[in-house]
Amino acid sequence: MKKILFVAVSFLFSCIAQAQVVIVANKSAPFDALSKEDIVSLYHGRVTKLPNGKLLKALDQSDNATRAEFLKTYLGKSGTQFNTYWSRLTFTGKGLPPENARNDAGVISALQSKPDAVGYIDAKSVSQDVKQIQVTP
Amino acid sequence: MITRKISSLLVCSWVSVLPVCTLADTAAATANGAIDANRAERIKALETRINQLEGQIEKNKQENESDLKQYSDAFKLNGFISAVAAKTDGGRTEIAGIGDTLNTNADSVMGLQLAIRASENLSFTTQFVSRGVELHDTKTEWAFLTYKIAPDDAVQAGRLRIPHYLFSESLEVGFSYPWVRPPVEVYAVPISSLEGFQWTHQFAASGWQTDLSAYFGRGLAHDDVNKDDFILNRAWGSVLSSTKNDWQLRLSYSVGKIDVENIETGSSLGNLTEAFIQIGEAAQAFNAAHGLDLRTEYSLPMNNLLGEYTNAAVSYDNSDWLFTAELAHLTVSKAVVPAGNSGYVLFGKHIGKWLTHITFAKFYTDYKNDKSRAAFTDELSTFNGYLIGAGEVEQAGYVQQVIKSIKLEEQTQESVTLGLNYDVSNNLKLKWEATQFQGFHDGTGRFNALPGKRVALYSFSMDAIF
Repeated sequence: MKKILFVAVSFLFSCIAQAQVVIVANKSAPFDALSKEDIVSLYHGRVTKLPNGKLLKALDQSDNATRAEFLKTYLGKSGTQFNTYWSRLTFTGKGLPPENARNDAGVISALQSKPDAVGYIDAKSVSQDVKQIQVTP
Repeated sequence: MITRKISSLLVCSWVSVLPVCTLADTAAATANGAIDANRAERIKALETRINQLEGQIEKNKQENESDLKQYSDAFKLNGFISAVAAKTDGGRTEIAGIGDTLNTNADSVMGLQLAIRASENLSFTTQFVSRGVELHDTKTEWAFLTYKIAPDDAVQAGRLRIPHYLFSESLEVGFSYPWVRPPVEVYAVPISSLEGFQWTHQFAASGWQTDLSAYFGRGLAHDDVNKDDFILNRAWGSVLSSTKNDWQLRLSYSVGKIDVENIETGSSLGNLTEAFIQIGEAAQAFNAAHGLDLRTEYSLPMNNLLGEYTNAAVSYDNSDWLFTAELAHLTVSKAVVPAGNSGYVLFGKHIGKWLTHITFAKFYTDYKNDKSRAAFTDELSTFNGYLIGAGEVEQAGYVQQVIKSIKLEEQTQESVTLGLNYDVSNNLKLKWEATQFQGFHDGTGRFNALPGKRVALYSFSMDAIF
């Protein structure tokens, strides 16, 4: 019985650990893929341009599990490390962190009116309202 | 027979009643149907109305949210707070305003920053900072307009932070760096902001994202240690900062003409100025008495001092290991103030929510500035020789003291800092730190008076942003 419980708990944790976060953009976004370097630059507030010369904007989420997974997977940072980085820009007047959406639904909703922005959501939340962006290494 | 008759009657009566009942039911059903249809119609109308109202509510909500969003996009208010407790075991000497009694004022600070975006290209940013646990001494640390002249170019005008160091622009924001306070051996230039202009250009090359900025202006600061005002005229400088993945490289150079004014009586510079006047008078009297022509005007150069500051920094943080180093060189022409070389190197390791780090820092006045001081002491020594020869023991002793106090400005200091940080949340950190200062070589280092051979400084801070 204990073994079954252990396996069940392990499975549950492995499911949680494998929660996949994907990059999404407006349905009509003129790009299908971004490099991981683009994502890192974008969420660090560095100038990231699309092939058409337009500036790309990042959309963040409020503190939640999806955000923690995104920061870990794509930026290799904890929430505090990410906030520490941004505190150095925010309080020097050099820039403000990306806009925040409350959750996946908020990101999807916000992207519909932002053709020049990308966000991240749990893979399970991907809908027809957004375009999933491939991330190349 | 009777039973059959009764049955027949019942059947008859049932049969005769049936059409009547059917008719009544049909009438009732018709009436009910009409009511139901009416109800259904009303319900449908109500549903339509509810949908309309819901739509209206949603629309209003979206409009309100849009208004709020526009409002929040136009106004951004951010804040930071650091509550610091620190003490030394150094007796009566103080470093960075901290002595051997628990001090909660020296490094505690709270700041509010307001950013107003007037348009896509024009914004205004201001930061108010209050110091100490009682939040006294509120100052506008900086306030400037930013105009984006191109996607990669911006011009700022107003009160700006002079970007001397790697962390100089977020110096008050304890949350932004690993220590309770950055190494005092390096972070010691008294002028931190100026009124002027800055131009910044961003570009990318070979994967390095680079900011190149140049600034020009005039700075003013009160030096709390030496109790005087520093005015930095015709100051200009440039910063080159590049980042790639986990690396940051930074070079900064600044130059300006320094005036030292409003020296307080009783401060170290005040005492030295007073001493020079007295020595001048004594030399005049000595010349008259002995028919000599010794120098009679001794004064500390306080105006038009050329100050140059150069800083090179490197930082690596892969969210596992942390490495940061800065080297700085300060020259102040003709000055007796301690100027020279300084640097530190920090190694850190992130372990979950913890960060452990160790920092080695050093500071020493360099030959160029020591030479300026030597010119003073040589002339004073000559005079002192005459005084001793003439048997003016008391005056000779006084001059000897002045020579000694000038020589004290030739300084060295080393320190080792051990730190432990804990991330309570994404916006709150706790930091514990112990620093041992040593290597003073008979000078005061960054202390306000002669410290012992070794002095330890213990600090604890809570740093938050909001």
